[in-house]
Amino acid sequence: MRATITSYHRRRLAYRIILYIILGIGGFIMIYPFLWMIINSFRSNFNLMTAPLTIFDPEASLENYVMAFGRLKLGRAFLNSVIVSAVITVFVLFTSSISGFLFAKFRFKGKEALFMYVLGTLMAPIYVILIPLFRLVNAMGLLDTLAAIFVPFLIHAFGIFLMRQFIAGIPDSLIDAARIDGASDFGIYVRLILPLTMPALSVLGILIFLWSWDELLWPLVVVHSDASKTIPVWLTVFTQAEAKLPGPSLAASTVVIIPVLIVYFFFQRNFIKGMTMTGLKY
Amino acid sequence: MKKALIFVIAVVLSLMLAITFSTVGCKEEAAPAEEAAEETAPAEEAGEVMGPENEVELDWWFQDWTAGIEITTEFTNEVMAKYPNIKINIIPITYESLTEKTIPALSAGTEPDVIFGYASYLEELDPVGLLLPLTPDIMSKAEAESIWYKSVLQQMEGSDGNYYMLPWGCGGDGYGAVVHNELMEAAGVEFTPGVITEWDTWDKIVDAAAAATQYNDDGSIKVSGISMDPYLNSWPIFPSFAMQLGAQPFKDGVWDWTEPASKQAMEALNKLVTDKIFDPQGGDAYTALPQGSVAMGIFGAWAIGALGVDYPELELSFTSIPPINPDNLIYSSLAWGGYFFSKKAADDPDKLAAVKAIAAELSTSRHTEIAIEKWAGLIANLEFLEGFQNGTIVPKTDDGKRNAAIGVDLTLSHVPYIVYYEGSKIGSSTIGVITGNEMSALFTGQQDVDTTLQNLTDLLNEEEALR
Amino acid sequence: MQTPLARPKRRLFIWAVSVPLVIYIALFFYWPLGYNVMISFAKTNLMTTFQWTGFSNYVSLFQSDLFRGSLWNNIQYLLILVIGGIVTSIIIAELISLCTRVWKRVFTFMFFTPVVTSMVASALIWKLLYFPKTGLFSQVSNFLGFGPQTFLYDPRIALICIIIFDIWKDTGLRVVILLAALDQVPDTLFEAADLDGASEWSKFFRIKLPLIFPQIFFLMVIYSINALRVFTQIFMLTDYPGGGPGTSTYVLNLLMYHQSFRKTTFGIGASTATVIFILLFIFVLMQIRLNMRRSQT
Repeated sequence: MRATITSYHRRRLAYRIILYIILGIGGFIMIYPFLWMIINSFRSNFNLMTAPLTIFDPEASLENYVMAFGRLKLGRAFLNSVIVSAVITVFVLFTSSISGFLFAKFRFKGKEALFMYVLGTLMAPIYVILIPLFRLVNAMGLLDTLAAIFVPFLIHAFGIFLMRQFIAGIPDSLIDAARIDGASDFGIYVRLILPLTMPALSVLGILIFLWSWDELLWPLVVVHSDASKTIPVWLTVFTQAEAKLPGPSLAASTVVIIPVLIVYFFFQRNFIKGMTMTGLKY
Repeated sequence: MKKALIFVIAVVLSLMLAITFSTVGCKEEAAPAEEAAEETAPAEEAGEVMGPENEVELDWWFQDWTAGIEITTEFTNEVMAKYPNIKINIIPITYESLTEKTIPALSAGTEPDVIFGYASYLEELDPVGLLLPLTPDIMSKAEAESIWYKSVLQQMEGSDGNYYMLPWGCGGDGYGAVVHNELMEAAGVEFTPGVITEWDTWDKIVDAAAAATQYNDDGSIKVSGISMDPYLNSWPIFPSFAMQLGAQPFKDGVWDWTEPASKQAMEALNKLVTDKIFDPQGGDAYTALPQGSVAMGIFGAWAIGALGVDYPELELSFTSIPPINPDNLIYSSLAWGGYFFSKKAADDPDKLAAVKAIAAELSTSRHTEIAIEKWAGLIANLEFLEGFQNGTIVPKTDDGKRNAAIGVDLTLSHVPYIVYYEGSKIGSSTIGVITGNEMSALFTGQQDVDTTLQNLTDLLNEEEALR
Repeated sequence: MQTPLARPKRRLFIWAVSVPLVIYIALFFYWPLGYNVMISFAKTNLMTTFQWTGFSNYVSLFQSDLFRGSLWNNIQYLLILVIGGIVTSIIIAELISLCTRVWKRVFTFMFFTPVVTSMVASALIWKLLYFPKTGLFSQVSNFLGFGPQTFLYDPRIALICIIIFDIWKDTGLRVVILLAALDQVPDTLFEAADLDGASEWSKFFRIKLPLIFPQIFFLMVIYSINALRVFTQIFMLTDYPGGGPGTSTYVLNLLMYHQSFRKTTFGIGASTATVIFILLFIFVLMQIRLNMRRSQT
């Protein structure tokens, strides 16, 4: 009897070890490219290309970062990305929550139709309207400005949908009480709805920020000069053969990825919860 | 019911707006052409060009390539010193964006006064009515042709027969090769480092490349003797060779690359792959050359400067690609860089005077003298070429002297023989992308030579029909 | 109880929110949608020329080899991404679900890391890792006995290499969704199975897999959509102008981008966009219908 239990346990232990090894390798594969990126961002172009892949490079230096920020003007692109993403996030949070409030707590004729009208925007992905949007932005004279990037994207039907769901869960009694106290609708929105929807807003905010941060196609189409590039567009320079400098591209990638990773490390749960809510990244 | 109604209204509104918007673009083009015609009289002033009477400020777009900005800044500083009434703002713009920015700006009327661009950008659009014509508004045709090569001016000829671009220079993509000195020397090949003059036939280049190729034990290529990747740089070799061998690829508005001469040209290039001198999967030469897995990359002369900056430890030399048939010098046209001028100057006498002054300064060898210190490429300015050849113009630095030698050598052997596909509405960058893709597919073994040539023919004809 | 003053204010709020909403969405969505369809029937560069051409854009599109090649690439992308991605995610999710709580969090964290990073920046890293013959992956494949591969420059495997990157990038997201789904499978079912002496394998295939099928289906639809409109991955991993060696990685979205913004033939670009959209629509509808039929059996 005893012998069987021991061998059974031993087998289970073996399975466990194999399980953890497989997952460990998998996890390592997931993370390794970023480690590689950080280490090699400190090696010069020449060494990266010619020297064998050593871990410690005695000639490690910051020259890639200097080139990225100096000659290639990464700093400006970074600033632009921050501005654009911040503007889009703030506006989308605002429009989503106030529209969500409208749809959840007000009754008026045509509300259903309006909601369908809004949700309709989810059916067509961006490239179907890419060309006309380009024309529109051009006609507004905004081509090649930061405004061109964010102006068409201040409202997001998904955000409205989400906030409507969430706000619908707020008890009507709270709102009625505020109304009796004489609060205006907008006042209710600011003082009651906004605070109560903070959790949903923060999750939505993370989502929208990350999505707009990484958006490539639209900014690629509308901005070209260094002064208005966002990071993804700026990074495309490294796809051109003559500009495919490994050193600065790794330095740039590090600058782009590490801050997000640090925030992710401390706020894992929010990130994971938020992103799986949609099940996809826009 | 209500939903459907609202939706239908939205759609109808959209259609209405769409129709309004779509016709807006077309109205503007009739007027400016007539205006421009009336301003021509004052242009014929021999001798001194007077600057503007009043102060005037000009916006100047230039490609944001560091050396280029330095060149332009130095030049415009001299212009501003000579003409105190002119103030110039240089605005750097990336290479990629120039098409996408220039055309919308021109159509919206928000373009700057001076735009640096490439002839290929506007080859697909008739510049008439879009830009201020170089001739006759700024100078006469005869004058222009005495300053720059006619074949270059013709690249930006409008449907009214006038020239619209003031030539700056050209990279010479596909007309030259950059050589990795160490690899070439290790192979025992004899050559003069710096500007190589020994390889004066295509066969000699191929022989040198073959010698420099190194193989692994299993026979695969370890170091390519020559690389045609990136194809966006090397593609002009094919049409040039085809035409030198007697092909006439564009006749009566129809493309045809299936002539025996074209086939011969393509096979000569494919031989590099089949003879195992070029590994088509070796990655682009611009990255592989510094790494030491390519001995010779086909680039324009600009690459020597650029590679020198990015990989300062490298020792490089330059050679121009010789013709495959020295008795029939013909080369396909490349996109020339140059200056376009905004038609807004036609209405503003001060701006027009400023533009004329700038054009006059650009017509002298001075601009090229400044440029050559930092850049090597095909030169269109005849005064510089003559001056360098007879020793009256001497660059200040060693780099400048080398660049000038490369540039003049390339120009004299290529520019007078540049042929423009008369009547084609496709720009050379489109031709380049299509040709490059087909060549890439051929070399990587996805299709044979006949299919490649047929594809090229079909795709280019499709493009013509689309314009 | 509402005071008489409340009514007008309420209505004001409603108008103040809905009117801008309607106008904004009409301007930045519905009008462009209609306009796109409209110019797909024309030949225009949006600046100086505009000419109605009827269906000729569509006709020339369907006759063009490049379009057909791109479509085929998108289909390959779809099949490999969906099947490869989902199978690996299922396996990993199942493995993680067998771990203890602490390890679950550790592994989830590790697998989810690529998901939060920038697609564009990650692609650049992989582009260097994939560098032919001398890059890290090439050296690994050499070490494993496959010889130094040229990956993104080899027309036969370039597309697959890009898909592998894509799978790597989003595996964490799929795993987390599937993990949540697996967690919801009630333990009572397992107790019954254990009593019957079922092995882990059959527990997995007979109980868990069918029960998490809705989520699997959801992922299939989502990633099919992503595959049909892939752009960034191709654009970043292949050398300018994009499309890989020759046209082996050329995809529909890239085609539209080139037609519209490189060659300024917006009319045909619009028709390509419309075609992609219709394809997507049909595809998603088909999948949904299949799923409904399946759940009815």
